[in-house]
Amino acid sequence: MSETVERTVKGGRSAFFENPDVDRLLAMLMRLMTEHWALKERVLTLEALLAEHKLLPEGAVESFEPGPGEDARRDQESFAFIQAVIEAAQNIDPQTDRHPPAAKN
Amino acid sequence: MDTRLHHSLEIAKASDNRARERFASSLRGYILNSMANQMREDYEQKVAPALDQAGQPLPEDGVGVHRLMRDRTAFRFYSSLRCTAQEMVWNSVIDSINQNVDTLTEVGQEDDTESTDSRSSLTLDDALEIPDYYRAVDVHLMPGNYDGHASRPGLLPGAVYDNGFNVFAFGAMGKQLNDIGWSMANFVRLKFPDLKPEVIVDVGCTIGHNTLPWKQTFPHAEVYGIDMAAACLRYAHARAKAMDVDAHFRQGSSDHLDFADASVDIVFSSMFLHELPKKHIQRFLAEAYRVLRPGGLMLHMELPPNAALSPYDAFYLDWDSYYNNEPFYKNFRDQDYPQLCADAGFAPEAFFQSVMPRYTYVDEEVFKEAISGQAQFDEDTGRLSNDIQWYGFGAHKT
Repeated sequence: MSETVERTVKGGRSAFFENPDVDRLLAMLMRLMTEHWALKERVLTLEALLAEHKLLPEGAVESFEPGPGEDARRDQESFAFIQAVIEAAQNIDPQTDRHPPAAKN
Repeated sequence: MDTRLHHSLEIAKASDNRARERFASSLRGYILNSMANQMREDYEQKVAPALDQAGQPLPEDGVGVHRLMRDRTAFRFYSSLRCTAQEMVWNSVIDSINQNVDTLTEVGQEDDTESTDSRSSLTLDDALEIPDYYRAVDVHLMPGNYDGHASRPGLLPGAVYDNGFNVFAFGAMGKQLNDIGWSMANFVRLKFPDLKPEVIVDVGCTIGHNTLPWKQTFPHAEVYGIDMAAACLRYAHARAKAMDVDAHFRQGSSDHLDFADASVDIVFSSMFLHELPKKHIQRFLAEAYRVLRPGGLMLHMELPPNAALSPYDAFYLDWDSYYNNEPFYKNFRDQDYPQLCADAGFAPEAFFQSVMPRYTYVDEEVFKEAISGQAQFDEDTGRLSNDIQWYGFGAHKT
């Protein structure tokens, strides 16, 4: 089997917020931003290649005007996107106590 | 931001991985410039004035500033994101490296590990005893530390360092990560023009990135790079060949330099002393004194001592000791550097120090002007940012 490099860090790393879950969330957010950026770079590359190969005029994306149908579709999709992201947390309830009841002795 | 290596150990990287490197590098730049400035402003404009208004004394050292800052929102966000960004640096290159294991293995084998010729060589020592402190943590959160997790890591740890460091530096440390080497070598060339070195030794050389500029600056000298990590030395040797610069890489400890008494003209190290426990620093400096010829010198590029910095700047640089798996960092910077040199045998009046701009980023006249006077310390000394100034100290062997 080939040698590979692992991602584990001997000695770990620190957390800074009173609730370390904030540090965890920040780490997840940064990873998400990384992936968002990677996708954005692909889109930029695609636009550049489409223009270079004259498959699409330069500035075509920038000057694109969605027609009424497309415009409405984007309104609905942006609303759904916002709703999905924010409501991902809706079931978290600090009052919910799932610890097993104490033994009756 | 260009994170290419600019030598032929470049590995093929998927475009998404290059984008991830760019993001990690940009994030580092943002944290160490913008967020660092915001944290400084929080201290200077809110924390310190509040103490004044309450009639309380300002902290006298970095420890005092740290106590005040650690519950501040600016500190928490800066620190948490900085740790995450540090991990992202290494993670952004690990996938590319794992996708190129065969290429790196092939280069490593081609290299013929124990080659020697008169101009360049690689000499390893399987019997070298590695001290416990060296493997206690993965320094600066680098997975595998300098010698890798695997039993036979080949060139991988060196590749992690070379590729990762490029992302880490966000373009601030030179085109081939070698501005420190160029700056320090040219400091010696310009400041001490009577010194014509024949033997130069870089101790704790890692992948030789700051070793090769010495050969490039003093082409008639024999240049040696010493390190304990065999994996990094293999990579250093391959990298030097890829860049067509001659150097000899040897595995060894700074506790005992494998050179005869009075046989070396320059003993150099960069960003090395702060990774050593104090007793190993003392042994290294004593060895440097032993191997240097009269007229030679020892020069260490390092972070400035806490005593030369304001309490806030001391706190700022101490951060790595607490949070970046650099356990010996603060202890080193709390030392009296002239005293360390004197304890090693150097005459007290032979001590020197300097603060300088980055040689490969400025005109030589600007560089000469900067090194001509006394060392001036400010918030840019040692602080990795777009305005960094390097600090070096050392002593002549009289």
